[in-house]
Amino acid sequence: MDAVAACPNALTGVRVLDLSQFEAGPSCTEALALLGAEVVKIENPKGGEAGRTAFSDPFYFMAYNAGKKSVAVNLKSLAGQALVKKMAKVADVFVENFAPGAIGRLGLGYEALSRQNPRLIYAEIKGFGDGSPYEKSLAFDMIAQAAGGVMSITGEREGRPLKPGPTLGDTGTGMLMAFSIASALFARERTGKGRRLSLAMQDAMLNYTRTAYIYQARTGRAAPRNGVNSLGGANAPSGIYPSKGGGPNDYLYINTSRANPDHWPRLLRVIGREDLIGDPRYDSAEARIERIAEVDEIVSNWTREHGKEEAMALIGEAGVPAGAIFDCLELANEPSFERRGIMQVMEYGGQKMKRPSWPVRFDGLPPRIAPAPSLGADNAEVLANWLGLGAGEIEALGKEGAL
Amino acid sequence: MNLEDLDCLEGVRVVDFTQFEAGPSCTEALAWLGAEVVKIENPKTGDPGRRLRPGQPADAPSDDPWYFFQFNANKKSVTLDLKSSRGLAIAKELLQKADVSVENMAPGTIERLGLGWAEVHALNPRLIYCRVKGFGEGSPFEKNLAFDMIAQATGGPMSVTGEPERPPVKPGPSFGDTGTGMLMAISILGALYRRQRSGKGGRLEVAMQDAMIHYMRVPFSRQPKTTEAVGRGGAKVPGAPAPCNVYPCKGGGANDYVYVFTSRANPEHWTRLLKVIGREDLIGDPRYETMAARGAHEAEIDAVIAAWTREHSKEEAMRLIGGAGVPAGAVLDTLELLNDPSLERRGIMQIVEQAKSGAYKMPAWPVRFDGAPPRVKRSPLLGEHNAEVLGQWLGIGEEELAGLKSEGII
Repeated sequence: MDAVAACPNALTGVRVLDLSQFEAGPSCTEALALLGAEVVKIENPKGGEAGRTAFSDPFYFMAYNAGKKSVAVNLKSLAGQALVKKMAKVADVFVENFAPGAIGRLGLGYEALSRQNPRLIYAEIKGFGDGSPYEKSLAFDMIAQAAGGVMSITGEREGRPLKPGPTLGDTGTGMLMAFSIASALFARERTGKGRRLSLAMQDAMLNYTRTAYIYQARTGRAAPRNGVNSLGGANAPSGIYPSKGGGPNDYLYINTSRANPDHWPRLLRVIGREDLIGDPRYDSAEARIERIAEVDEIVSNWTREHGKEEAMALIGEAGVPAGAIFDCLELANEPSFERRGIMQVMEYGGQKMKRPSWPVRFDGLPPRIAPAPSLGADNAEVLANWLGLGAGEIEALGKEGAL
Repeated sequence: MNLEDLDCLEGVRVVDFTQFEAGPSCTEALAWLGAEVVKIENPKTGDPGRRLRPGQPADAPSDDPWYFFQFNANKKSVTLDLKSSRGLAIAKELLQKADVSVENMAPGTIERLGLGWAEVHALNPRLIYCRVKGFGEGSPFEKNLAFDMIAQATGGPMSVTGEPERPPVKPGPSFGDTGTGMLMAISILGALYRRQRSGKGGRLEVAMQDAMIHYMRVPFSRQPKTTEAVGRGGAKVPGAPAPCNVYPCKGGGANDYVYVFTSRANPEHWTRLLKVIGREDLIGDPRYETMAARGAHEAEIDAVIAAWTREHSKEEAMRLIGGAGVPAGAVLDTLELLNDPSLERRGIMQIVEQAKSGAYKMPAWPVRFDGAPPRVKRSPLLGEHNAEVLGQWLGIGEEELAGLKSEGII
């Protein structure tokens, strides 16, 4: 694995105090960890962060906590709160995504922490923004996807709203916060000042649905659901075509672009229908849309005879955008991802999981995935390095019920 | 509105060769946070995103390029014919003065122009040189073209989106593009931060297919449990305890639904929900008391909840269920969100005065810095900043500019 992954050391020396849980926060702090920051998870000594037990297996936790350290602190004890407050004095970044109001009740709100450490970048992720009618409400990924417009544009044309399978509500939010934290760190080199960063998951969804607002602007109507198609102008052929095998994901996406009239004759050559090149029934985008059922049939007749990988290779090589519908099993087993370090195997608690790494390569290499920490694994190391606590003091904190 | 002109990235110069969305969403994020982003555009047509007007022929006069507004706010535009030797020389001079360059051209194009990594790195070793492609180097598809939907097809999102037993659908958000752009933006910031210590630039690359996998970690975390591919869950989250679904609301319109979720981590969600919907009689009922039992009676549970939600509007249902401490979300559509006054008041949606077509309301960068999101400024007209950027960065004067223009280089 070392041949294909490395720590980019981009955020070396940055200390992140991570009070986040589940995914919206942890995906953000994991991105910082993958880029080289020292991320210390503060976890409940009883059971740890909620994501450890959100499913009946450790894979969810393994997916969002690579390369972090774990310190188990009892935040319900005053000594535990005081300890975290001390850690915030020497941290660069603080991240939390508790339910609304909870962090203040722990004495770890923005005012308290920034007063003692004006250089601190304090990041809070909530479901809904301050000033939203729902600001006190809880949110998880799917609530953000419902209330942020995502589900209204996902589904079959005449069907009900559906939830996209990817957890854009969580990780999509985490990424916007990670970018903002890194920007605030960069600015702090010049200004010496920390900042308060706040992000609502509902608001974050708008950043990923901007193309729907173009439809909205054009028509004045709510952007609809459009099956497999984009909301942009219709073009044909465009959509999924059945491929050999007939399984639930045996489809090929073909998208001939309106901007490139060559896509259609290129496609005809691949599928052995040169006879139709120049045929006025299909020659313009408008004509093809008018005969969309015929066009789809012409294309399907060929795709049905080919495996989706083969079809993707042949059509893609001819310069027409095409993509097989790959499922998680196919992607997990595709050797080129592991060869390139985009997928890496993580070992944790006796389990192994092949999981995605950070997909951006730095000088050719993606970041190396280190294991997720076991609960409290780094108590001694972090408390010694950050606060200079010795073994005796740490033991005393344990006896007080702070750890 | 509550806004701030953010200067986090003040002094960072970005030469932006990107087009459409995957690249422009990345450089726009940099611009929102204060970087000086200079789009390099073809003098004749500009970024093809300027011409992406659904429902209109590609050569129609450009007066409503909403697509372009969305992804090119706060940037500058300089026109440059990169196929002319003088145009290429100017691009190289700009790159010598820049901190970051970003491109998302088709595979091999930037190298053919003479602006590949080796050449540009030799010109400016401090430069952070960024490439966004459809597929990664070493992928069987590395030469292929990709757009948002191709990334969503090949990176897994479509395989897990749709009704069970039905063909895949495409998630509506264009996160094949913007989702990729955000990962590159974070990485650029990491590289800039590192450069302050090391003095060195670097080469950043991301493939859209690979970026999709990053947003797919929940499905991938279910994959080790089964030998079949993770399937489509409709509106549900596969593996989550019931109830977890969209429920129909009063009105019966296409988006009159409320999402209700009860978390495995909090067994009280179920009893709280029963109180809201007036079904206290079911509290403690062994048919529904445990998560396993609710899983076995999911259809009944869904009917009990729907009987209540059908009598309430989605906003009311969200307020009542959410107010009781159970995660709930109305399925809000683009029209409702666009007209939501709180989004505008908070600066999450901003009205931007465009150069030709007037006021346009659009989503802004949603992260608030000390309470305020960054101010969105209108996207540039083609070549609007030729004189300013070429003058300030390269010292090119008026006369030389006129010459460049008459030769068709800018």
